[in-house]
Amino acid sequence: MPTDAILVPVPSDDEDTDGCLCGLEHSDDDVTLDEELPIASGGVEVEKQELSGTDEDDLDGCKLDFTAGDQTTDEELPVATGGT
Amino acid sequence: MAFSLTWLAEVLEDAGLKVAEQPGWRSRGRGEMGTVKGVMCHHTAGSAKGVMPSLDVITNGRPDLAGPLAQLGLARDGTYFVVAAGRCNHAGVGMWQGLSTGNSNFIGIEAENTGTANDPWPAVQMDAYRRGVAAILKKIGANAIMCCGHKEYALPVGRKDDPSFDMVEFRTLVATILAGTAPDPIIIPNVDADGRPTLRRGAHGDRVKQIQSDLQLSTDGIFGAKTEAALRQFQREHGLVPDGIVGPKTWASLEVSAAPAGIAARAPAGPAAVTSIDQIVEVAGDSDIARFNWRDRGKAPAGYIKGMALAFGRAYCKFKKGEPAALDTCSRPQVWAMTPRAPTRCGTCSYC
Repeated sequence: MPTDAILVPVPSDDEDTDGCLCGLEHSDDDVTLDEELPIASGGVEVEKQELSGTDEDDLDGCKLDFTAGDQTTDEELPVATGGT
Repeated sequence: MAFSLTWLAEVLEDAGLKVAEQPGWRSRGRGEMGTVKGVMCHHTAGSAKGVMPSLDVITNGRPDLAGPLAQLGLARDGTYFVVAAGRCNHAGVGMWQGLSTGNSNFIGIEAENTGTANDPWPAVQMDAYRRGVAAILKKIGANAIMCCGHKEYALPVGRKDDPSFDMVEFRTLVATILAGTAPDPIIIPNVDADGRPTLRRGAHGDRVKQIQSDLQLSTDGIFGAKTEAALRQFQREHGLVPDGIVGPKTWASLEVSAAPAGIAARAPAGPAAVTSIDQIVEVAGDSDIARFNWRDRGKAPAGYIKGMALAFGRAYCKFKKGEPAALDTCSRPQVWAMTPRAPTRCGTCSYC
């Protein structure tokens, strides 16, 4: 069963090391059986979750019907600084 | 400590690919990667059995060769196994597009294949190979030329022969994916036409029990590693992609292949217990297969199952008696059984 490898110091000539498996002799003892493989995910259609309508993350405040009472008049604006 | 390629699993899964993470992959490596410039394709030349028999060696290396030996393993069923987020020893001496530091600048993918002519690359694996490479190249902002085969990179020329497929064609198809002109990936639907959910390892419940029963496993209702492995074997034997996922095709195949077991379960005990055609007809008529529904054709017409059982029973009994022409027999009895009005009887066979 695969286990977490322990990090080893990197040899100075590591860049030239070729551990490609096609150059190795494969032993039956090294074979990973199907039942030893880790669990997979992905590749299957994901059901789209419907918007709840009550969750604030789903709300869109871009287009609202303003009434006169909702308007902020110039007099109500806070004082500004900077820009000079 | 985690290395820098921790985005690998997410990028591959976002591309619609099946991904499995080797425990500890984020902190596995021979050190930190340099700037990632491309992807290098390999094949394992490993065992012909299993979906990813080389995974342990890719992960841990050998006593004489420290692992990890590649960041990714690509299984025969198109699943990516994410092995390491750091640098791996997969390239050795070589040159591609002016780069000679393959281990530091290229992500290595070891795809499971013997590399011989009698081990054709499954379409699902090649499709995943191209899509995975395209997803990585898109992530790092590179184009298809930055994908090379080990055989193209390695020096002196001819030192390596992997991967065994044509890299020029491979890059052309990767480029179509990057350009958005390739067909969309085939994603397994999450439910089949009969409303059965797609199930995989980690699922549990009565549907899993049904699958385990069909596979003749103990029925604990938990879709674990053993159920998955048995399912992969079933899929291999039935010409399906051995991905261990029960999607629409596997549901249909399980349904059909499980039907004879229903007959067997209702038959009197013992291999020699069914001794007459009448018994076979009786067992078939009382079995689950008699109520079988074909998705496209509906329920079998009245008498169809009985007729098929008759035809089989007659051939089987004659075969057991050593009659060489057992399979070359009159077909009228099954037609007779299938239709309200009997056809003209042949007058020569014992059943008509």
